[in-house]
Amino acid sequence: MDNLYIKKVLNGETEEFRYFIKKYKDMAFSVSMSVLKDEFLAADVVQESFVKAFQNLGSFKGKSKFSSWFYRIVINESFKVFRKRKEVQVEAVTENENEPIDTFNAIEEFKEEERRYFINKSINHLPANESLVLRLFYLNENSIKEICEITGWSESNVKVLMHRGRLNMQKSLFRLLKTEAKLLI
Amino acid sequence: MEEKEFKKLMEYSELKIEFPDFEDKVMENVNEAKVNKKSVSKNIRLAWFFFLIGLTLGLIATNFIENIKFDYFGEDSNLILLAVEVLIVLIITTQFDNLIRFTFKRKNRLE
Repeated sequence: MDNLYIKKVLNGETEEFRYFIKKYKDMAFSVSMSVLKDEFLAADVVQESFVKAFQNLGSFKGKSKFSSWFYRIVINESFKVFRKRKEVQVEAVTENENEPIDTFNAIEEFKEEERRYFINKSINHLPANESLVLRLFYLNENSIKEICEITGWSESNVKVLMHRGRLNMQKSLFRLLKTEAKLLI
Repeated sequence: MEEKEFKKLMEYSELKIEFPDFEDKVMENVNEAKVNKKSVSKNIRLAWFFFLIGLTLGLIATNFIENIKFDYFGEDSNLILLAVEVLIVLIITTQFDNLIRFTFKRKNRLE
């Protein structure tokens, strides 16, 4: 389907580019938010990435999926902005490291909107590369090979980031829930 | 936490762009980029055209001046002509270099 629209756009039907915006804007936004943690900056980056994708559409050879190619642009643009700003240091999650973390059951108690809030807040506490890898793997269901292709990182690096990201995410979520519980009490 | 449970949690991490006019804004920028692309290509073509016209006229003028003999404050006209020629060659090479750089830079960016 993507290829059909690429041909249309390349043949001068610019309005057909809207198809890509509709299809990829939310995932591109999630990807950019993983890096930037700021919705206004992320929206700007996604906008810029769409324009770049349009300008360079002729150079897309179709060797990889359009989505992989496009997310690569989004990630490059996001890291460009990220490097311009000073990296926000992530709080080190150290407390209760040995404590059993049953965050899944705890979060199941919440309503959907609340769950969404806590999970996105926890993911915002992770370093850019960890949250990016987690979102691509679990949310966008990219394989490790595809993640390497999109990010340009090595397979071992992606695996390490995923392992670390999973642990940090659970710890961050646990901390958030604990703070919330304290507030309620 | 098990892999399945973690995946279930991560399903909630999808974010949506909350700006209602986002699509239209992007399309506006895309259309602007399309117009700019056309005008830059046109400008590059025009730059090459005028460069070649200037080069041809310059060659004709230099050839014409070469045949005129005159004294300028006691200096031989050939010396003045040489100085003018050196200046012209300098201008031509720098302009030619700029044109080539700009044309290929743009071509590479589009590829």
